[in-house]
Amino acid sequence: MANSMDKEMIKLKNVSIRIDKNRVLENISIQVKQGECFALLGPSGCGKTTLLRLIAGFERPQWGEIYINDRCVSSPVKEEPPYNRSLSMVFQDLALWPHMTAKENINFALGSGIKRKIKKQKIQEALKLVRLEEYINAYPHQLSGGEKQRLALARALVQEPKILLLDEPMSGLDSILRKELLEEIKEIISRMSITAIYVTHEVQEAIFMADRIGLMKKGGIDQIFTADAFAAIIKQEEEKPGKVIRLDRDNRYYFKTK
Amino acid sequence: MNRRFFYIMIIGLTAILFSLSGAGIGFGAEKKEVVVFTALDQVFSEPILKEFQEKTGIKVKAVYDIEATKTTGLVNRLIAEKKNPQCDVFWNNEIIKSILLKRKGVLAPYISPSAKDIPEHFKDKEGFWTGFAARARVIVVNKDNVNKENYPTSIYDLTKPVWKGKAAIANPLFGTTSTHVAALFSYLGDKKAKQFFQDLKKNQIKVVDGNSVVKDRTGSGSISAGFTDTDDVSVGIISGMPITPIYPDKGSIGTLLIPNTVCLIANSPNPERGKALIDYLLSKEVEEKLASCPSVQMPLRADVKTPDNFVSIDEIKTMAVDFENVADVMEGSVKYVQQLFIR
Amino acid sequence: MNQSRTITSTSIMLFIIIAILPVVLMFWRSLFPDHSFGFENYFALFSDPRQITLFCRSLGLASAAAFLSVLIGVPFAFLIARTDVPGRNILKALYLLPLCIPPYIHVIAWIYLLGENSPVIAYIAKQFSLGTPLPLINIYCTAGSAVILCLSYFPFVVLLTLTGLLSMDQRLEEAARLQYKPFKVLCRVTLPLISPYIFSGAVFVFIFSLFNYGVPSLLRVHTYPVEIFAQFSAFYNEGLATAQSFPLVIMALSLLILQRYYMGSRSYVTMDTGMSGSVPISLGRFRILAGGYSFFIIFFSVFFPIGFLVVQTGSWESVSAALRTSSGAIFTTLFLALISATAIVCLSFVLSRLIEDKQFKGRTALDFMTFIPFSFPATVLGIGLIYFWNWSITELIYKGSLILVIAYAARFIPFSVRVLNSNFKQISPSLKEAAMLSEKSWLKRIIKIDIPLSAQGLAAGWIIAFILCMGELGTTLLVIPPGKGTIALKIYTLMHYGANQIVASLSLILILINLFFCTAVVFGLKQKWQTAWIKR
Repeated sequence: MANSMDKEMIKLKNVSIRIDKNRVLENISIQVKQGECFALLGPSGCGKTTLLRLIAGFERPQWGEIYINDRCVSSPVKEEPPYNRSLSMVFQDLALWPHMTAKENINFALGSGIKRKIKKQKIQEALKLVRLEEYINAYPHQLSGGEKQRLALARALVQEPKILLLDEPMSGLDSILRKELLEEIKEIISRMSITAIYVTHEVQEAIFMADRIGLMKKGGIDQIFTADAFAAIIKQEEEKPGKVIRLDRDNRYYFKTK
Repeated sequence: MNRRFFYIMIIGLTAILFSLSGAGIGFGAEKKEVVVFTALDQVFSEPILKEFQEKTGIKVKAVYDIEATKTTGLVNRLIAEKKNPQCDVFWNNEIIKSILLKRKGVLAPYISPSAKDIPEHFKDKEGFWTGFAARARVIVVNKDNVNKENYPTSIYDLTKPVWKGKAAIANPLFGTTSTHVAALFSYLGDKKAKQFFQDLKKNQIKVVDGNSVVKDRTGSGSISAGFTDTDDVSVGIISGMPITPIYPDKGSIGTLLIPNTVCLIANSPNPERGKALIDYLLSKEVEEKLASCPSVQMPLRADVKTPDNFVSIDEIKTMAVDFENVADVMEGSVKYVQQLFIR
Repeated sequence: MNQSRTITSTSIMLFIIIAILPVVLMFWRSLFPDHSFGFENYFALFSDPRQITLFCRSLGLASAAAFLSVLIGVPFAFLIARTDVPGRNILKALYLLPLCIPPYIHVIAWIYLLGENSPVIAYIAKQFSLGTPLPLINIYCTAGSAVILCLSYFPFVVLLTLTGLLSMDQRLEEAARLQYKPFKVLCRVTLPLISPYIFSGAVFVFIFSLFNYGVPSLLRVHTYPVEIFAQFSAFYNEGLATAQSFPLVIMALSLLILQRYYMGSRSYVTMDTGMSGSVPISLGRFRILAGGYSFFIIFFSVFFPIGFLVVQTGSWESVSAALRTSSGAIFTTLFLALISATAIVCLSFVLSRLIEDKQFKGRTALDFMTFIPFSFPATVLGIGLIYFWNWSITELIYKGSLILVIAYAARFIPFSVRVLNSNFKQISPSLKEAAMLSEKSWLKRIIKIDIPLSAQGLAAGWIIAFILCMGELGTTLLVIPPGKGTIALKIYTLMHYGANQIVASLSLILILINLFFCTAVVFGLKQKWQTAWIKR
């Protein structure tokens, strides 16, 4: 028997999709172990978000299979809807329902079939987790940027997911807030031993959050590093620019050189 | 989904659907009713239908035609419903459409006993339609604008230079105006009729929306004369307009009379009650009522009581048209005036 | 899940049966002139140069009315939504009224004011002892018709622009306002973002103006739709009538292509619906001018025709007489309009969702399908409905009022689909996707997430459908069950004999009913989210 920590929580086998000219993924295969945080790093338009949406079940791959917790959730013959994949997601635009208060947002995310009393308790816990107890009746537009982010996180975590997908959740926040939140998220997911996929285009974020980093270029995953190895490469790059990795115009996107 | 809510929704929807559906009609004992489509204006036809309902206890369900849709409504509905007719009686306010419905096979023959004393000229030989209470095509004149000695006495007068730009005609594609056009084509022959309408056009006759507009504009004085129906003129006079009808061509071709016609629909749902309604509509009583209401329909029978100052049928010369032939030339003649006037 | 499959496929089926098949049936029949297959009806199309003139004139008239409506409607909507224009609350309550007034009344009122021998001009001339009546503007022309049509239909543009402005994230504007003057922000940010709405509004005005023959014919302007009527009432040639509707359908479809081309892959999503009620823009020294402008529009589109109606009504007695004699018709109309508008909005909601659903394969086809009945003449549609429903097995439907609900749905679903589509374009798909992660029940997701998010669009769609159902005439006459009547039918049957007092009172009653229900919807919407995100 394999160690539970070695169990593959997410597995993609030769997954391909073509939505339009700009959104193409070819032959993607990755495995993420339980409790691991896997970062997808790459320029915008390389298909990071599409890959995440494939795992969540918002897009259907044309070829290949996706396994979650050893269960096939997507193959050319079968497709599980998102709510049957025991995962949750923090969206790039947070997707907080504007017509619902913080409490209602979390309440709806709990889905149906839970007793009211337990629901109430869970909402309290989730808000406490992200330190938003006092905003229980606030509407999203009444919250600040960081508070919204935390509410989105609380909404995602309240379902006690095995897997958490994060789609550039820090975009639009200033760097101090960002660091604070990153630490919070990291702490929470490791405490709850959640398997996470973290999509970003910020190198430091990826290094900080992830155990492993998948470098993406247009249409696929180019190379996978451990976070430590990648940090070393970055460091090397900073010392001797241009040797290993090329920086693009705004020093953010990383490409491997030949 | 809350199950109770779901059931309530289903029940509510069923109730609404049921109340909207025709099922309500069929329930209970079979109701005594008759369905009539009426092209004569509701204000005049409704009281008569109500009277029938009270007298016989047969419920009259009516659909009234409206001029605003250019009377495209009921005749086309009858044609379209031919396979599964919903209507028993068609009360047409003119005659050509009844002939047309006969030709399309929509009608059933019925020779009503009430129609015995109606002149043959206004009855179909096989009984598919029967005429009663007629309107005349007249020239309406504004009394303030025109001196009595200058009143037009013939439709040809409106082609004369004195009337240039001062006369009006309703859109000749629709209503009694189209019947008038076709009657002239039938009576005068193609060549003369075409010449007449060309002359009208040359004389800058104004083409307006309908017969009632001809009357309104003559009444307001923006034009001095126009072709319209007697009922329109009568309504105008009652509302105080300075207008008067002229029955044209007393010495020559005569005035066109357009009778109401009533027809039984083939394979109708309630033929017997339909016949009863037809008998009633063709009675002297109805002709009298239509003569004394503001629409002053002219009785076709000489012995019907009429109000004072009433121009009755024997005081004018009736244009001797063959209505069947009018129906024959209808399409061609209307196409011609359409080409001529509607640009 | 199955629930969603069942409901969406039922909706598509219903839509096809209700709105598409009668149209298809008419086209099919038009291919069999004289009982044998042939395209004669279509070869006959435009064989007459006269018809081309008429068609072009109709197009010009409708385009002019649509253009004018955008010209006056968009600034008007902007003023009442975003600025401190004087009396904006009153304006907000009044602007929809012109839609409730039959265009016929507008034109009669104008003829009364400016027509030949208008009593108003005569009175003025007499007072100032001017010998001949004043040479005023000639309203008997295409331009005059376009202006009057614009005055009766521009609220479509206002309603939709307003819906767009209300459901848009104002921070997008505020961001731009930091750098630019309000006018530039309006042109560069606001208008482009709400352009789907403006376009839909303009399309509505265009379609309605194209089919309105009452206004132009009273102004002695000959238009194309009357040709189609003539095919029916003079020649009884329904095949040719259908064929002549074809250019109109083609034109509506090309509008759709134009819209899709224009919108391309642009996104109209406002990322976050952060709708805290922001402070209205101060107009400063233009405040009076803007107020005057808005009042001017409301005066000529609302007060003037309604005032005319009130004068015509004369006394309370005529109103109570109208109420007494027409209570049955009023009840029937109201009942039918409430049910039809609700049914139309429900069906359109499902259809619009599908059209906006990127994963749905038939979405383009469906989008085009919803445009086909858009421009199909009411009379031809009515005949189609008779052929389609008048069978002994469907008697339950055809003999009852249900056929009217079907007729209204067939005519007006395209309109509410357009409204809802504009609305859905503004809603971020991630809001729905987030719901998909946790809630299994499709219906619950719809009720809790989709419907509240589109509340603005649903309300606008319902209001438009309701007003249109209340006033429908052409199809109603053809399929109404014998013995029943609607207010619109009653108004038009009485109009011929100049029963002016009753006609005017009935029109006033119609206007009041429309006003009451539309205000109730707007007010109810406000109440529901009083403390929440739609805070205006």
